[in-house]
Amino acid sequence: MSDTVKLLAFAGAREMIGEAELAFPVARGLTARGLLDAVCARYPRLVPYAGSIRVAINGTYAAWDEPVRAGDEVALIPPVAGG
Amino acid sequence: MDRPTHLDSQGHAHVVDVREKAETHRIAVARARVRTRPEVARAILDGQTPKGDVAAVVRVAAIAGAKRTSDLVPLCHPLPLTHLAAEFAVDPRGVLTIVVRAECVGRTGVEMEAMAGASIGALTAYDMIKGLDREARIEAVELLEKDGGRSGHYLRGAGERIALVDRPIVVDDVLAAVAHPSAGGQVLFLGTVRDHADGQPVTLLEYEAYATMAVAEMGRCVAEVEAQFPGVRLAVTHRVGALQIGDLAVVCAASAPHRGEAFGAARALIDAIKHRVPIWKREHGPDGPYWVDFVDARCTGEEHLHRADRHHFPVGHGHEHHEAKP
Repeated sequence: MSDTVKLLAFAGAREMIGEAELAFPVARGLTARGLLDAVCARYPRLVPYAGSIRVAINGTYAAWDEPVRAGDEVALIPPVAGG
Repeated sequence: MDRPTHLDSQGHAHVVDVREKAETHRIAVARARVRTRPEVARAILDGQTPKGDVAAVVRVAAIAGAKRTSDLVPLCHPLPLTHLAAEFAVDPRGVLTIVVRAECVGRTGVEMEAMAGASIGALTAYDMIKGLDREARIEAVELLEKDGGRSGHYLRGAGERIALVDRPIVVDDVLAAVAHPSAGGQVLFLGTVRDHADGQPVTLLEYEAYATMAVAEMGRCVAEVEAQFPGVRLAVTHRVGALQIGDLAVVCAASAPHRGEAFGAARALIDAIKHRVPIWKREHGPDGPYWVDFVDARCTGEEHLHRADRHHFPVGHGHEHHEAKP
Protein backbone atom coordinates (compact mmCIF):
# COMPACT_ATOMS: atom_id res chain seq x y z
CA MET A 1 0.00 0.00 0.00
CA SER A 2 1.40 3.36 -0.99
CA ASP A 3 1.38 6.34 1.31
CA THR A 4 -1.48 8.74 0.80
CA VAL A 5 -2.66 12.20 1.72
CA LYS A 6 -6.23 13.12 2.53
CA LEU A 7 -7.13 15.19 -0.53
CA LEU A 8 -10.01 17.64 -0.15
CA ALA A 9 -11.59 19.35 -3.13
CA PHE A 10 -13.99 22.25 -2.81
CA ALA A 11 -16.56 24.06 -4.93
CA GLY A 12 -15.80 23.88 -8.66
CA ALA A 13 -12.73 21.71 -8.10
CA ARG A 14 -14.87 19.17 -6.28
CA GLU A 15 -17.30 19.07 -9.19
CA MET A 16 -14.50 18.51 -11.71
CA ILE A 17 -13.08 15.65 -9.65
CA GLY A 18 -16.42 14.25 -8.63
CA GLU A 19 -15.33 13.65 -5.04
CA ALA A 20 -15.10 15.93 -2.01
CA GLU A 21 -12.50 13.81 -0.26
CA LEU A 22 -10.24 10.97 -1.29
CA ALA A 23 -7.01 9.26 -0.34
CA PHE A 24 -4.46 10.30 -2.95
CA PRO A 25 -1.13 8.50 -3.27
CA VAL A 26 2.00 10.57 -2.82
CA ALA A 27 5.57 9.65 -3.63
CA ARG A 28 8.43 10.72 -1.41
CA GLY A 29 9.69 14.21 -2.25
CA LEU A 30 6.44 15.31 -3.88
CA THR A 31 5.78 19.07 -3.75
CA ALA A 32 2.49 20.96 -3.72
CA ARG A 33 3.03 21.70 -7.43
CA GLY A 34 3.75 18.05 -8.12
CA LEU A 35 0.64 16.98 -6.28
CA LEU A 36 -1.60 19.36 -8.27
CA ASP A 37 -0.04 18.05 -11.50
CA ALA A 38 -0.66 14.47 -10.39
CA VAL A 39 -4.28 15.24 -9.51
CA CYS A 40 -4.76 16.89 -12.91
CA ALA A 41 -3.25 13.85 -14.63
CA ARG A 42 -5.76 11.61 -12.91
CA TYR A 43 -8.70 14.03 -13.32
CA PRO A 44 -8.26 15.74 -16.73
CA ARG A 45 -11.43 17.77 -16.30
CA LEU A 46 -9.53 19.83 -13.73
CA VAL A 47 -6.80 20.82 -16.20
CA PRO A 48 -8.45 23.93 -17.67
CA TYR A 49 -8.85 25.34 -14.15
CA ALA A 50 -5.50 24.29 -12.72
CA GLY A 51 -3.93 27.72 -13.26
CA SER A 52 -6.29 29.28 -10.75
CA ILE A 53 -6.11 26.60 -8.06
CA ARG A 54 -4.05 27.03 -4.91
CA VAL A 55 -3.00 24.24 -2.60
CA ALA A 56 -3.30 24.27 1.19
CA ILE A 57 -1.44 21.81 3.37
CA ASN A 58 -2.88 21.12 6.80
CA GLY A 59 -5.04 24.22 6.72
CA THR A 60 -2.47 26.75 5.48
CA TYR A 61 -1.73 27.96 1.97
CA ALA A 62 1.37 26.17 0.71
CA ALA A 63 4.19 27.49 -1.46
CA TRP A 64 4.49 25.48 -4.70
CA ASP A 65 7.79 23.94 -3.66
CA GLU A 66 6.52 22.93 -0.23
CA PRO A 67 6.78 19.18 0.37
CA VAL A 68 3.66 17.07 0.73
CA ARG A 69 3.97 14.20 3.19
CA ALA A 70 1.91 11.09 3.68
CA GLY A 71 -0.81 11.75 6.19
CA ASP A 72 -1.13 15.46 5.35
CA GLU A 73 -4.51 17.02 4.70
CA VAL A 74 -4.14 18.67 1.32
CA ALA A 75 -6.87 20.89 -0.09
CA LEU A 76 -7.43 22.18 -3.60
CA ILE A 77 -8.54 25.78 -3.26
CA PRO A 78 -10.20 27.24 -6.35
CA PRO A 79 -10.50 31.06 -6.50
CA VAL A 80 -12.15 32.12 -3.25
CA ALA A 81 -15.27 34.26 -3.29
CA GLY A 82 -16.30 34.88 0.29
CA GLY A 83 -17.84 38.07 1.51
CA MET B 1 -6.52 12.35 45.84
CA ASP B 2 -5.34 15.79 46.89
CA ARG B 3 -7.82 17.56 49.07
CA PRO B 4 -9.43 20.72 47.64
CA THR B 5 -7.17 23.74 48.25
CA HIS B 6 -9.87 25.68 50.07
CA LEU B 7 -10.37 23.02 52.79
CA ASP B 8 -7.90 22.63 55.63
CA SER B 9 -6.75 19.29 57.11
CA GLN B 10 -10.02 18.97 59.04
CA GLY B 11 -12.05 19.67 55.93
CA HIS B 12 -12.96 23.16 57.05
CA ALA B 13 -12.99 26.04 54.66
CA HIS B 14 -10.04 28.38 54.98
CA VAL B 15 -8.32 31.13 53.07
CA VAL B 16 -5.49 29.30 51.36
CA ASP B 17 -1.86 29.94 52.21
CA VAL B 18 -0.27 31.73 49.25
CA ARG B 19 3.14 32.49 50.83
CA GLU B 20 4.83 30.27 48.28
CA LYS B 21 3.21 31.88 45.26
CA ALA B 22 5.15 34.51 43.35
CA GLU B 23 4.28 38.16 43.68
CA THR B 24 3.33 39.31 40.22
CA HIS B 25 1.52 42.20 38.60
CA ARG B 26 -2.05 40.99 38.31
CA ILE B 27 -4.81 42.47 36.21
CA ALA B 28 -8.46 41.58 35.90
CA VAL B 29 -11.29 43.17 33.95
CA ALA B 30 -14.92 42.27 34.57
CA ARG B 31 -18.17 43.44 33.09
CA ALA B 32 -21.78 43.54 34.21
CA ARG B 33 -24.78 44.53 32.15
CA VAL B 34 -28.12 45.95 33.17
CA ARG B 35 -30.90 45.64 30.67
CA THR B 36 -33.58 48.29 30.76
CA ARG B 37 -35.89 50.03 28.31
CA PRO B 38 -34.61 52.34 25.57
CA GLU B 39 -36.51 55.30 27.13
CA VAL B 40 -34.63 54.77 30.39
CA ALA B 41 -31.30 54.64 28.60
CA ARG B 42 -32.26 57.85 26.84
CA ALA B 43 -33.17 59.46 30.18
CA ILE B 44 -29.76 58.53 31.58
CA LEU B 45 -28.01 59.98 28.55
CA ASP B 46 -30.09 63.16 28.85
CA GLY B 47 -29.46 63.46 32.61
CA GLN B 48 -33.20 63.11 33.29
CA THR B 49 -33.13 60.40 35.97
CA PRO B 50 -34.78 60.96 39.37
CA LYS B 51 -31.68 60.21 41.44
CA GLY B 52 -29.23 62.30 39.47
CA ASP B 53 -26.04 61.43 37.63
CA VAL B 54 -26.19 57.66 37.15
CA ALA B 55 -22.74 57.32 35.60
CA ALA B 56 -20.91 59.13 38.40
CA VAL B 57 -22.67 57.22 41.18
CA VAL B 58 -22.24 53.86 39.47
CA ARG B 59 -18.52 54.40 38.92
CA VAL B 60 -17.93 55.34 42.54
CA ALA B 61 -20.05 52.41 43.74
CA ALA B 62 -18.15 49.96 41.55
CA ILE B 63 -14.83 51.11 42.95
CA ALA B 64 -16.10 51.02 46.53
CA GLY B 65 -17.56 47.56 45.93
CA ALA B 66 -14.31 46.19 44.54
CA LYS B 67 -12.49 47.36 47.69
CA ARG B 68 -14.89 45.43 49.92
CA THR B 69 -14.50 42.13 48.10
CA SER B 70 -12.62 40.26 50.82
CA ASP B 71 -15.27 41.31 53.38
CA LEU B 72 -18.08 39.98 51.22
CA VAL B 73 -16.69 36.83 49.63
CA PRO B 74 -15.69 34.45 52.43
CA LEU B 75 -12.54 32.81 51.07
CA CYS B 76 -11.02 35.82 49.31
CA HIS B 77 -7.73 37.27 50.48
CA PRO B 78 -7.63 40.99 51.22
CA LEU B 79 -5.48 42.40 48.43
CA PRO B 80 -3.35 45.52 48.28
CA LEU B 81 -4.92 46.98 45.16
CA THR B 82 -2.68 49.27 43.16
CA HIS B 83 -5.30 50.42 40.67
CA LEU B 84 -9.06 50.35 40.33
CA ALA B 85 -11.05 51.92 37.54
CA ALA B 86 -14.70 51.71 36.59
CA GLU B 87 -16.40 52.74 33.40
CA PHE B 88 -20.08 53.07 32.70
CA ALA B 89 -21.55 53.03 29.23
CA VAL B 90 -25.11 53.45 28.03
CA ASP B 91 -26.36 51.86 24.85
CA PRO B 92 -29.46 53.79 23.74
CA ARG B 93 -31.14 50.47 22.96
CA GLY B 94 -31.35 49.90 26.73
CA VAL B 95 -28.16 48.20 27.83
CA LEU B 96 -26.05 49.69 30.62
CA THR B 97 -22.54 48.32 30.87
CA ILE B 98 -20.22 48.52 33.85
CA VAL B 99 -16.59 47.55 33.30
CA VAL B 100 -14.19 47.36 36.23
CA ARG B 101 -10.46 46.97 35.98
CA ALA B 102 -8.51 45.92 39.08
CA GLU B 103 -4.76 45.61 39.46
CA CYS B 104 -2.42 44.66 42.25
CA VAL B 105 1.05 43.34 42.81
CA GLY B 106 0.37 40.24 44.80
CA ARG B 107 0.24 36.48 45.20
CA THR B 108 -3.33 35.88 44.14
CA GLY B 109 -5.59 37.09 41.37
CA VAL B 110 -7.75 40.19 41.35
CA GLU B 111 -10.65 38.81 39.35
CA MET B 112 -12.98 38.70 42.35
CA GLU B 113 -12.34 42.39 42.96
CA ALA B 114 -13.20 43.19 39.35
CA MET B 115 -16.29 40.94 39.48
CA ALA B 116 -17.45 42.40 42.82
CA GLY B 117 -16.96 45.92 41.53
CA ALA B 118 -18.96 45.19 38.38
CA SER B 119 -21.70 43.54 40.45
CA ILE B 120 -22.02 46.43 42.91
CA GLY B 121 -21.91 48.86 40.00
CA ALA B 122 -24.80 46.96 38.39
CA LEU B 123 -26.78 46.90 41.65
CA THR B 124 -26.24 50.64 41.99
CA ALA B 125 -27.32 51.23 38.40
CA TYR B 126 -30.52 49.34 39.21
CA ASP B 127 -31.01 51.47 42.33
CA MET B 128 -30.55 54.63 40.27
CA ILE B 129 -33.16 53.69 37.66
CA LYS B 130 -35.63 51.51 39.54
CA GLY B 131 -38.04 54.46 39.80
CA LEU B 132 -38.24 54.43 35.99
CA ASP B 133 -38.02 50.69 35.37
CA ARG B 134 -38.49 48.23 38.19
CA GLU B 135 -38.22 45.41 35.65
CA ALA B 136 -34.65 46.29 34.69
CA ARG B 137 -32.46 43.26 35.22
CA ILE B 138 -28.84 42.59 35.94
CA GLU B 139 -27.35 40.09 33.58
CA ALA B 140 -24.05 38.65 32.46
CA VAL B 141 -21.59 39.49 35.22
CA GLU B 142 -18.46 38.07 33.66
CA LEU B 143 -14.70 38.13 33.62
CA LEU B 144 -13.39 39.69 30.42
CA GLU B 145 -9.66 39.50 30.97
CA LYS B 146 -7.15 38.22 33.50
CA ASP B 147 -3.39 38.34 33.48
CA GLY B 148 -0.45 37.83 35.78
CA GLY B 149 -1.21 34.45 37.28
CA ARG B 150 -0.05 30.91 36.57
CA SER B 151 -2.79 30.45 33.98
CA GLY B 152 -1.32 33.20 31.80
CA HIS B 153 -3.32 35.70 29.81
CA TYR B 154 -7.01 35.07 29.46
CA LEU B 155 -9.22 37.11 27.17
CA ARG B 156 -12.88 36.23 27.12
CA GLY B 157 -14.36 35.44 23.76
CA ALA B 158 -11.03 35.54 21.95
CA GLY B 159 -12.28 32.45 20.15
CA GLU B 160 -15.72 33.94 19.53
CA ARG B 161 -14.42 36.94 17.67
CA ILE B 162 -14.16 34.69 14.64
CA ALA B 163 -17.09 32.58 13.61
CA LEU B 164 -18.44 30.60 10.69
CA VAL B 165 -22.16 29.97 11.02
CA ASP B 166 -24.87 28.24 9.02
CA ARG B 167 -27.69 30.39 10.36
CA PRO B 168 -28.52 34.10 10.17
CA ILE B 169 -25.76 36.33 11.55
CA VAL B 170 -26.64 38.33 14.65
CA VAL B 171 -24.99 41.71 14.08
CA ASP B 172 -25.12 42.63 17.77
CA ASP B 173 -23.02 39.58 18.64
CA VAL B 174 -20.27 40.62 16.24
CA LEU B 175 -20.36 44.18 17.53
CA ALA B 176 -20.30 43.00 21.15
CA ALA B 177 -17.15 41.02 20.44
CA VAL B 178 -15.21 44.24 19.77
CA ALA B 179 -16.84 46.40 22.44
CA HIS B 180 -14.18 47.93 24.63
CA PRO B 181 -14.23 50.81 27.08
CA SER B 182 -11.33 52.53 25.34
CA ALA B 183 -13.05 52.37 21.96
CA GLY B 184 -14.14 55.76 20.70
CA GLY B 185 -15.61 54.37 17.53
CA GLN B 186 -16.93 51.16 16.08
CA VAL B 187 -17.26 50.38 12.40
CA LEU B 188 -19.44 47.63 10.97
CA PHE B 189 -19.19 46.19 7.50
CA LEU B 190 -22.23 44.20 6.42
CA GLY B 191 -21.81 42.10 3.31
CA THR B 192 -25.20 41.23 1.83
CA VAL B 193 -26.39 39.11 -1.06
CA ARG B 194 -27.28 41.40 -3.94
CA ASP B 195 -29.67 40.66 -6.75
CA HIS B 196 -27.21 40.96 -9.61
CA ALA B 197 -23.65 40.11 -10.63
CA ASP B 198 -21.95 41.48 -13.71
CA GLY B 199 -25.24 42.76 -15.04
CA GLN B 200 -27.08 39.46 -14.63
CA PRO B 201 -29.81 38.79 -12.09
CA VAL B 202 -29.01 36.54 -9.15
CA THR B 203 -31.77 34.79 -7.28
CA LEU B 204 -29.90 32.66 -4.74
CA LEU B 205 -26.39 32.20 -3.46
CA GLU B 206 -24.88 29.13 -1.90
CA TYR B 207 -21.76 29.56 0.20
CA GLU B 208 -19.42 26.68 0.84
CA ALA B 209 -16.38 26.76 3.11
CA TYR B 210 -13.37 24.68 4.01
CA ALA B 211 -14.54 25.25 7.54
CA THR B 212 -11.47 24.54 9.65
CA MET B 213 -9.15 26.48 7.39
CA ALA B 214 -11.69 29.29 6.89
CA VAL B 215 -11.83 29.87 10.65
CA ALA B 216 -8.04 29.69 10.93
CA GLU B 217 -7.52 32.01 7.96
CA MET B 218 -10.05 34.54 9.29
CA GLY B 219 -8.08 34.41 12.55
CA ARG B 220 -4.85 35.12 10.69
CA CYS B 221 -6.49 38.03 8.84
CA VAL B 222 -7.72 39.47 12.16
CA ALA B 223 -4.31 39.09 13.80
CA GLU B 224 -2.48 40.71 10.89
CA VAL B 225 -4.84 43.67 10.60
CA GLU B 226 -4.81 44.20 14.39
CA ALA B 227 -1.02 44.27 14.26
CA GLN B 228 -1.19 46.83 11.47
CA PHE B 229 -3.62 49.11 13.39
CA PRO B 230 -2.57 49.30 17.06
CA GLY B 231 -5.47 49.65 19.50
CA VAL B 232 -7.97 48.10 17.12
CA ARG B 233 -10.14 45.10 18.00
CA LEU B 234 -11.71 43.12 15.21
CA ALA B 235 -14.37 40.47 14.85
CA VAL B 236 -15.83 38.67 11.88
CA THR B 237 -18.65 36.23 11.30
CA HIS B 238 -19.22 34.59 7.92
CA ARG B 239 -22.28 32.62 7.00
CA VAL B 240 -22.41 29.53 4.80
CA GLY B 241 -25.29 27.63 3.22
CA ALA B 242 -28.11 28.91 1.01
CA LEU B 243 -28.69 32.65 1.27
CA GLN B 244 -31.42 34.80 -0.23
CA ILE B 245 -31.16 38.30 -1.67
CA GLY B 246 -30.55 40.75 1.18
CA ASP B 247 -29.25 38.16 3.65
CA LEU B 248 -26.07 38.98 5.52
CA ALA B 249 -23.19 36.86 4.23
CA VAL B 250 -20.42 38.41 6.28
CA VAL B 251 -20.20 40.91 9.14
CA CYS B 252 -16.94 42.56 10.15
CA ALA B 253 -16.66 44.81 13.20
CA ALA B 254 -13.80 47.04 14.24
CA SER B 255 -13.42 49.13 17.35
CA ALA B 256 -10.64 51.63 17.89
CA PRO B 257 -9.81 54.65 19.99
CA HIS B 258 -10.48 56.85 16.95
CA ARG B 259 -12.64 56.48 13.86
CA GLY B 260 -9.80 56.60 11.38
CA GLU B 261 -8.26 53.34 12.57
CA ALA B 262 -11.69 51.74 12.93
CA PHE B 263 -12.60 52.49 9.30
CA GLY B 264 -9.15 51.55 8.04
CA ALA B 265 -9.04 48.26 9.92
CA ALA B 266 -12.57 47.26 8.96
CA ARG B 267 -11.72 47.88 5.29
CA ALA B 268 -8.44 45.99 5.52
CA LEU B 269 -10.17 43.07 7.22
CA ILE B 270 -12.94 42.60 4.67
CA ASP B 271 -10.44 42.96 1.82
CA ALA B 272 -8.18 40.28 3.35
CA ILE B 273 -11.14 37.98 3.95
CA LYS B 274 -12.39 38.26 0.39
CA HIS B 275 -8.91 37.65 -0.92
CA ARG B 276 -7.83 34.71 1.23
CA VAL B 277 -10.47 32.89 3.20
CA PRO B 278 -11.45 29.57 1.59
CA ILE B 279 -15.13 30.25 1.06
CA TRP B 280 -16.84 29.88 -2.29
CA LYS B 281 -20.13 31.02 -3.66
CA ARG B 282 -22.34 29.49 -6.24
CA GLU B 283 -24.62 32.02 -7.82
CA HIS B 284 -27.92 31.02 -9.35
CA GLY B 285 -28.68 33.22 -12.34
CA PRO B 286 -30.78 32.95 -15.49
CA ASP B 287 -28.40 30.40 -17.06
CA GLY B 288 -28.29 28.20 -13.98
CA PRO B 289 -25.79 28.04 -11.15
CA TYR B 290 -22.04 28.67 -11.46
CA TRP B 291 -19.15 28.97 -9.04
CA VAL B 292 -18.08 32.61 -8.88
CA ASP B 293 -14.62 33.26 -10.36
CA PHE B 294 -14.11 29.61 -11.33
CA VAL B 295 -13.26 30.20 -14.95
CA ASP B 296 -12.22 27.71 -17.58
CA ALA B 297 -8.81 28.80 -18.91
CA ARG B 298 -9.83 27.73 -22.41
CA CYS B 299 -12.35 30.57 -22.37
CA THR B 300 -10.10 33.35 -21.11
CA GLY B 301 -8.41 34.66 -24.22
CA GLU B 302 -6.98 38.18 -24.21
CA GLU B 303 -10.33 39.70 -25.05
CA HIS B 304 -12.11 37.78 -22.29
CA LEU B 305 -10.01 38.40 -19.22
CA HIS B 306 -12.85 40.14 -17.45
CA ARG B 307 -14.49 37.90 -14.89
CA ALA B 308 -17.85 38.67 -16.44
CA ASP B 309 -16.89 36.63 -19.46
CA ARG B 310 -18.63 33.58 -18.07
CA HIS B 311 -21.87 35.31 -18.95
CA HIS B 312 -20.82 36.28 -22.46
CA PHE B 313 -20.60 32.80 -23.83
CA PRO B 314 -23.64 31.01 -25.05
CA VAL B 315 -24.98 28.12 -23.02
CA GLY B 316 -23.21 24.90 -23.90
CA HIS B 317 -19.81 26.46 -24.51
CA GLY B 318 -18.26 24.88 -21.48
CA HIS B 319 -19.13 27.60 -19.02
CA GLU B 320 -21.70 25.71 -17.07
CA HIS B 321 -18.93 24.28 -14.97
CA HIS B 322 -21.34 22.70 -12.58
CA GLU B 323 -22.60 20.41 -15.29
CA ALA B 324 -19.64 20.14 -17.64
CA LYS B 325 -18.96 16.61 -18.80
CA PRO B 326 -15.61 15.29 -19.88
